[in-house]
Amino acid sequence: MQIISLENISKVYSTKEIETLALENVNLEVNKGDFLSVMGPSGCGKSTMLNIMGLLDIPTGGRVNINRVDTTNMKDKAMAEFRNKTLGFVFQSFHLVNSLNVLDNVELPLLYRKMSGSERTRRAKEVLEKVGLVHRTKHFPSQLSGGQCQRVAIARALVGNPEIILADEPTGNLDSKMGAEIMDLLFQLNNEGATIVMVTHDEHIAKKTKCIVRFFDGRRVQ
Amino acid sequence: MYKVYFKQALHILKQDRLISAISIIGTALAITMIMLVYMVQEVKTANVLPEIHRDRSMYLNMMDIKYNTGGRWRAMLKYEALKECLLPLKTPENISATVMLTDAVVNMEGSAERNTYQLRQTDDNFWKIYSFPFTEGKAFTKEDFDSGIPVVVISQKIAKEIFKGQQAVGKTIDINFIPYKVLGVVKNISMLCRYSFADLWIPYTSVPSYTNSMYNFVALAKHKNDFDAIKEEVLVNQKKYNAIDTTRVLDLNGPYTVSQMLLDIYSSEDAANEIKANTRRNILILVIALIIPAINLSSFSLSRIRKRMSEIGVRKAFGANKFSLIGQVLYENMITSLIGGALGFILSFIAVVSLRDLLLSDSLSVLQSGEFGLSMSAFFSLSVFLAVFLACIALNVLSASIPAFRASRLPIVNALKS
Ligand SMILES: Nc1ncnc2c1ncn2[C@@H]1O[C@H](COP(=O)(O)OP(=O)(O)OP(=O)(O)O)[C@@H](O)[C@H]1O
Ligand SMILES: [Mg+2]
Repeated sequence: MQIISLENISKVYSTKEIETLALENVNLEVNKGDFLSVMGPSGCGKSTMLNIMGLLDIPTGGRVNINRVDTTNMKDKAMAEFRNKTLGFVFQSFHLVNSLNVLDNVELPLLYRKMSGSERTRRAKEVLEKVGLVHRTKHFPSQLSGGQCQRVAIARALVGNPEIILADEPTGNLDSKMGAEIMDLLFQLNNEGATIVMVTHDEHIAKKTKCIVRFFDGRRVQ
Repeated sequence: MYKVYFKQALHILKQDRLISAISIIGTALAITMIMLVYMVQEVKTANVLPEIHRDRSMYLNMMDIKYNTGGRWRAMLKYEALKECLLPLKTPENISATVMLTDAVVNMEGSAERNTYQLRQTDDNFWKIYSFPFTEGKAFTKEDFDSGIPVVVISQKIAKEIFKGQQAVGKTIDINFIPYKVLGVVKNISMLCRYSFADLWIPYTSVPSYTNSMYNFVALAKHKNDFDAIKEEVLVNQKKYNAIDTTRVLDLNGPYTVSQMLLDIYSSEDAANEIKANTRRNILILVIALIIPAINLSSFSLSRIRKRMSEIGVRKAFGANKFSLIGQVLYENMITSLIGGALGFILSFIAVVSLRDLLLSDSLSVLQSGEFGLSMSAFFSLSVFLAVFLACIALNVLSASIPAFRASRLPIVNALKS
């Protein structure tokens, strides 16, 4: 069953001097339960595509459908709610909030839902247990290793129970051992039913996922 | 939700100690500064000992005379005008006239040691309109005044300098080489009490040339609402006076309230404009005094927000909409402002307490005696404090919410990158 579809997506970045065509007529469909790897050389538009898919960026042309809902003309509030309920993000550089401790970082997406404080904490602890960091709830991001930070970030992406997880080079800043841990976690999540789209440079990792798409120079080539 | 924001706000404040300290202290000082400006203004018009009825007092000390021959004189209030137009007033509760403060040479009877002091020649009503704390003796009476007998009330300062701790009452001193009997001693008066301050007070009738002196007139209204009626009665008397001799027209400049007297109104024709212009000036000063620190503070809140662009990106990515983001920024700024405001309140209060005595007294002995103060409420207006405080919060919040609003509209990707 189709959960995401990109139709004729193009993205142009215009600065004063130059116009960059980051994506050109990209079509892509992701089915529920997929684990999709996105590959391609640096600068080919992988992150741009993932951000558009996650409603973090707006395409210059084309349509993004998620759960068969056209998101093109969504208002800020509806868009925010959509991101909150349906999508979870994992970034290469973690993007944890430094002034919040681990527990509060993980609770962050739940702040934007109607939910009691104790319920938020219960859920956050539950996912922290899953990523093996329940003993670090009071730590701040600066007190954690890179791998631990990424596990917190994954917990944050999971806490709202989204159907889709979008990960942009989640292992990019980690050594191979920590990277493997993170991948194990993602595979486990996929087995539990989450749809995952992941950008990666690592051919080995990509091979283990269910499906690979390749980009070159703003176009999908495979 | 707000509990989490609160926790985070405190954490950020602690993390960025220098910036936080500067913006909190900045808010506090801005408030204190304005409170001081207000206080300095207030001390000139608030009821303070001995001028305890400033709110009901009206003054007049200038006049214009136009002659039919074309001459026009702007002058201090002369005795004739005082006697004809002002001393007969019936509306006020009390009236008094005082000769402009002059320097007088003073020495103890028989002593060659001479000093110069400030002399005020006045009447017996003066002691009823103002409330002087006597340490010895008493003031001169209506009988003393009417008879023009040379008696004097001196300040503690003179008593100390001339009598060196001995009892002063009953002794005689020479004022401008004429012997005066000391009737009483009062505590030292601040120079800020410009209508009552002096070192020596004598009945003006004791000076033979008193009809040639320049006067300052005060009327104590029964009630503030009587001001217009008093002015009206002055005009009536003035008209009568002008009817006697049509070769000249007297135009009394006043009477004015204590705060109007501060404006230096040069003629009765200018009065209305002067008062309006002054109100505008005061508002302008207040606005500038508020805006300058606000601009400085806003750069701090701006830099704080800039540092948190990526956080804003993260929050949006995980479901925050514009309103919740702006709400959070406002809330956080409110916390800083509240802390700054509380500190400002304490600072203002300390400033009021420590400057109060400085403003009101001119000698250490008064400071020590401590009886000379006035109630705090005369200086420290809670409503002014609150107004300034709210303005500070508003400016603080505004300076943070504009960048926050812009950040919230930024594409999330850009926010995340910064
Ligand atoms: N904000 C921007 N303004 C201008 N050009 C941009 C912007 N973001 C990306 N680009 C350009 O768009 C193209 C695609 O960038 P993108 O980040 O999607 O590449 P990528 O495939 O993720 O590369 P990498 O593997 O290095 O992360 C690049 O040429 C890049 O220079
Ligand atoms: Mg990228």
